[in-house]
Amino acid sequence: MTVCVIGGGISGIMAALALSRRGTETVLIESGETLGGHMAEIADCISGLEPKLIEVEADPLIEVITGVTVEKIDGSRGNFTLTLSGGRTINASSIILATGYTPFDPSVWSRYHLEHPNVYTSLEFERVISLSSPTGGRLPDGIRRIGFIQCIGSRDPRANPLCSSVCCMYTANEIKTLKARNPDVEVYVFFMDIRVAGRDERTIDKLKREGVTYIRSRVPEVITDDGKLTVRYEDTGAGELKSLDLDAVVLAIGLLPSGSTRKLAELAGLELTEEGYIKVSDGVRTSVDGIYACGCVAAPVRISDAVVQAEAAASLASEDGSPPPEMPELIEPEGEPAIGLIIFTDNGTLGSYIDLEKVREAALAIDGVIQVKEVPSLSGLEAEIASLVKDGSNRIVVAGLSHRKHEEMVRDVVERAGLNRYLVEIANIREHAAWVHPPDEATRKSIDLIRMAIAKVREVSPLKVELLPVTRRALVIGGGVAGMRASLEIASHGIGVYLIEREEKLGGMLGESNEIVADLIKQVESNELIQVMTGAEIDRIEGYIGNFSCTIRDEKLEAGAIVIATGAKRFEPAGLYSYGDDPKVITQAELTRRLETGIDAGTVAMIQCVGSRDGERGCSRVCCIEAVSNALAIKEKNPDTEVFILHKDIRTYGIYEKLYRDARSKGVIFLRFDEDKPPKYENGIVTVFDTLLGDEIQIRPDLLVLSTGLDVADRMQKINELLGTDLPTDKFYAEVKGESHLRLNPVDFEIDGTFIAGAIKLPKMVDEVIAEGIAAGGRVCSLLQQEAIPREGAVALVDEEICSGCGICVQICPFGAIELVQSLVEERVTYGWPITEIKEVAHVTKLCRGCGTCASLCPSSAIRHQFFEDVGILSQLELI
Amino acid sequence: MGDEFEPKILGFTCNWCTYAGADLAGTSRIQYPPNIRIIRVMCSGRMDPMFVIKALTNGADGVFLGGCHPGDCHYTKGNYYARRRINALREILKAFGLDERVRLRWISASEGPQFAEEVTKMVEDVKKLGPNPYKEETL
Repeated sequence: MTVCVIGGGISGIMAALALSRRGTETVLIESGETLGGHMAEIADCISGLEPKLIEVEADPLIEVITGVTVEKIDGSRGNFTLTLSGGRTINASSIILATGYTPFDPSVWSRYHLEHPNVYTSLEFERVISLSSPTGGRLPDGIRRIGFIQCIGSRDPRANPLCSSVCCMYTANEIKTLKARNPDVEVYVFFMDIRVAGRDERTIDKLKREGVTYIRSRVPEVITDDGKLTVRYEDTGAGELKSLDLDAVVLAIGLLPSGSTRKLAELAGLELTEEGYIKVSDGVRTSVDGIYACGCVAAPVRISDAVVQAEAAASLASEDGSPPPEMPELIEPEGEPAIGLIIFTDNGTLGSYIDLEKVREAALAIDGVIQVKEVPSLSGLEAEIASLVKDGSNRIVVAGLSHRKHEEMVRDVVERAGLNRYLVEIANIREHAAWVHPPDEATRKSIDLIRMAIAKVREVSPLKVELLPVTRRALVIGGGVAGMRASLEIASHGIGVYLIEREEKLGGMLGESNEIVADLIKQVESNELIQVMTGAEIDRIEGYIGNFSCTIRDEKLEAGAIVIATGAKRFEPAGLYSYGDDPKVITQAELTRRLETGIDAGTVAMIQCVGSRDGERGCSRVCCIEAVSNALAIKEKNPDTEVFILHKDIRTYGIYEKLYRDARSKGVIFLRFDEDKPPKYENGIVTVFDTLLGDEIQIRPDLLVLSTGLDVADRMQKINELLGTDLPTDKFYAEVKGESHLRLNPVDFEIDGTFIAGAIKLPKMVDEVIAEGIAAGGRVCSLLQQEAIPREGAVALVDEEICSGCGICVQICPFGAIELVQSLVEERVTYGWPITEIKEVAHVTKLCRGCGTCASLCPSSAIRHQFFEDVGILSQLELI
Repeated sequence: MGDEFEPKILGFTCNWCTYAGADLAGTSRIQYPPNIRIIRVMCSGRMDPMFVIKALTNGADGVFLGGCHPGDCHYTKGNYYARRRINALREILKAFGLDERVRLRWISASEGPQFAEEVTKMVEDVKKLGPNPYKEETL
């Protein structure tokens, strides 16, 4: 049965791809003319987006319909009918809503003077600094001082009371790009709180060190006087009104629910929040069974979080699909290489950059080339390559595509045409020649690149794509929310799970007293497919994707995939603020527990960022929200209790901004201290230098609550030991990798077949953790539903005869994929008879990912990097 | 162009960062000198010093190597091996006066302009150095 995805932005695209990976037929509907959504508008994001667009285009299971809207939704789970604007109807078992956001339009307010030519919205500014702008990302003349104003149309009850979550960081990214292309420009940022975490925090610190001025301020206003721009603002540090003359202003506009989201909600009868977002549970489930939401339709989120939701929604929406189509019997290439050349003309446009006739003539003259064909579009590739193979080509070269963007797709096409998938090479004459050089030179270079590709393809031999058997069982490490939710998701698709928990009980950091946790424990324990092992410490993990083996005490568990959900530990504030000595000093987690029975205190003070954001550890993301909601709980029980929250920034992201607003209106007092002037606690008195007041404040609390951050050191250590990774132990996984790496594969861990979710990745709120658990579980399912996993064919191979067993490769392999083994080797000696002996040689295991580092380091040249063999590379470079 | 010396530069780029950076330069239509020919490998760790020497003895006037920024390697640490290896090679090339003709640069997938800039700079610098003196002798 088909799943219908509505919205062709990055969330919709990723949901469609996730569905197709599981063999589910998908219809992707987009109201605009092209796919890509807002991501396509972001400067240079195209390099990440483009491969996904190509994947969607080439995917036989995805039907894309653009330029239509959904006019009617009938039916229920398992049997929806969608009527499109052209009249066509689609039957779908489930629906995924991914209609994204509408950027706030600041022209409705005159105070920002958007009509001024040098006042930009952040999205307009993306085009200004984009490489594809007429100036190549350089600012117009005369702009030397530029100001960014944050929270335009966010955290503002008149427009949108919520925090848009992403603007702090997109501004920092814009500044980074801006500075790279305009190093001399002076940059100012007007902000209320900086709300970023992980590696992003270091990016902003770096910007500050490089001279970007961050001004903590309120209600900035743009004044135009004779075309001059001035920003007037209240400097909350100095406590006075100031103004700053600037040449240009960028308004960091917030994300609002899109109009189509509201319309679709009405059509399908979905519940909305008061702000107009889709109401969801588990991060992605809407109020109607069978309809899921991902991306910015439920709350403003970053791309990586949107992709987590897309994966989760796809997993919930997919029913077990049909197995992939049978592959044709592959032709064994015999005799001399006979090369068929395809020139991809990009709908004929390539001809306006280079002389195609010359290229064609030159190519035909190259030894071994038997046919040259032009193909205008990607969709035409399949038929042309098939006909080349039929007409006797046993090697293919495709000119005009990119290795990086198209190689896997081209290999698939070649394989479907009956040729081994490694008998094809690409000559990138478009990006690397036609588009970047004048016509004559580009033509010459194109011919050279084609020659090089032909030289290489002559040398390649068919590679066996090994099909790895799959153990249809998963191993989930960690029995907290993420691990339990992942287990349930996997089990719901009929796959067995070993759920391993180190502690004696399931529940993780939140503990079983939490309602959500209690419910998850009940579901997990009653699920027959999930085998729970508590009090279990893993001793060893061996194996590779599809075939892991995990040893616990004397027991060996076999699993095809692993989910790492080991969570985090509360930082122990021993010795800080007299914690441990003074019974009045407790942690936020202890307060949460005490609030269940009620507390007796006239004054409560909370100190944020204890053991986080301290120069070593980053932001733990959840502590502000936890503190504010506990403060609210205290006020609710007893409005007369005085509650002070001492903080650096208040980071109530997204929808949690509501809590912050409520807390302030209920009289919770927020005092901001500077990083270098943390509060002190002596003789029962908290002393803090409040930056807004510019003076010291003393509080005598009955309870001093420390909001402690999260720590993953021991968990990371253990993961490094078990999986042979080399990750720093003082950071969350997402901090190490950064958004740019995680964006499009947010739950993938270092090793193929392993996935990561929950606080070990980055601390998050429960809803987000649940979505991540589902996403990781979903990824496991799509992997384990396969009967066999095709392994990368272009991997390292040892010539045992030459190998001296020195073991250098064993040490340098980044994946621990080489081991020394005793092998029976037939060895030839210079004189005398061939002798056979047992010797120690290197052996490449299935963990190899094909980087080729070992091949160039082997002192005996005994390792070959298949498809990238020395002989192929040398034959290319000889043409220079 | 006349008789001006046009150097031949051989490029080795990793698949994930610098190759994609060159792609982005293309998508953004950033013009740079056409003297470079790129051979793609999966990781800068695959760049064998032997390739560099072969290229130089085969007549390349310069060799440009590109990989992911430190810490960003698709294969975790291949670029560190590349750096170590090329630095060692450079010491040897010094003896032949060829060290300035070999350049290793970190260019990410989003650094199209940097790619174009580095290639432009390399072509200019090699022009100043003149033709590779070992070109003829090895023939």
